[in-house]
Amino acid sequence: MGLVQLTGYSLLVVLAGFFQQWPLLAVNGIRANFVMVLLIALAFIPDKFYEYLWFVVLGLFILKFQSGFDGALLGVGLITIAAFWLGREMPWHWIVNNTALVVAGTLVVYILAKPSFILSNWLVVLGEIIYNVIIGTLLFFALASDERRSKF
Amino acid sequence: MRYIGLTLLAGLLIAILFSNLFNGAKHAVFDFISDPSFYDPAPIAKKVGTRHFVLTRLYSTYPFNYRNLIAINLGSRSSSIKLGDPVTVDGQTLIGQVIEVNPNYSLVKTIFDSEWSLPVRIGDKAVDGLLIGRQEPMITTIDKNQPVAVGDRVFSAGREFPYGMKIGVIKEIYDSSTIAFIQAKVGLDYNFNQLRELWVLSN
Repeated sequence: MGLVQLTGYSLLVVLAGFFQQWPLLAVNGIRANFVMVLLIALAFIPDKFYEYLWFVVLGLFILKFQSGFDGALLGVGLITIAAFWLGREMPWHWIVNNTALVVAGTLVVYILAKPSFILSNWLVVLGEIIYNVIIGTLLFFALASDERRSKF
Repeated sequence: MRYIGLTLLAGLLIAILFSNLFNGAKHAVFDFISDPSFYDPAPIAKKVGTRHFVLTRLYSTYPFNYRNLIAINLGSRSSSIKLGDPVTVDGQTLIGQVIEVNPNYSLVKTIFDSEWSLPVRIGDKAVDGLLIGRQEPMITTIDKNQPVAVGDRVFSAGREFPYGMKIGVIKEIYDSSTIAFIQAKVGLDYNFNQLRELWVLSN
């Protein structure tokens, strides 16, 4: 991955972090996990893991909101790091792999952060899954236009 | 070289997860980008009755749906803000409470947070209830024999806030033979997503 591409994608991650913390982009009070879906879509691009790890570190830094440990951040970190290998190993079409990882990622974040929230606010979680899948699919196709995605 | 890079990135990852590394600087950058004219202003204060309020700017919100926290640009360096201070929309309507104070910014837990609960009183008869935080805040444990109607005023009754701070009005009432208490949805006269400034009770 060239320096220009690395810088461009890094800026995209920072922008996604701003969007995620911007209340105006919440639909019916539900906000999408922009950083996670972007990182999952990006997981299909770099060949070298350390390049991808840079995006994950940057994304988590932007999302870090309060002092101390945050289970939701750990969830985003785990699922996005796993996506680097799982995305390539999963047996389905790339877009299906991306969608499956986005759905699993949304649930993993809540399981690690506050599992009871899934049951007590299942409509919010369902809404976020739908929102994330829509954003994730759009991002995947946008990134697929990159010449490095010709392998898809 | 590659392994050194990987080790550094892994170290950074752990530091970000478990510490407050660069968080203050990041919030300051957020603040500056969102409105440079407001960056590091002298605190603006106003008095409502005997209460003193300090103006603060809301510049980011917690990025996940299961909490509703907001970051404000009032910190211990530029003001006397402290843990537990009530935060209001306009000097009268309670919206949250300060839960973390840093030199350059503070965090506020709002009434929309899933971990928020506050004793409240409803209407002229001051009927007891418990306000539970959610995207549309709900009052539970209202006695079925008490007179509660749509449009009744809801105000705070918790010990950590001044008594009688306005929260909203009763919007919908849920009653059923299968539940022991009445529940009610609270209507608010502001749109949370469009709030840009808040007032922190400083005394």
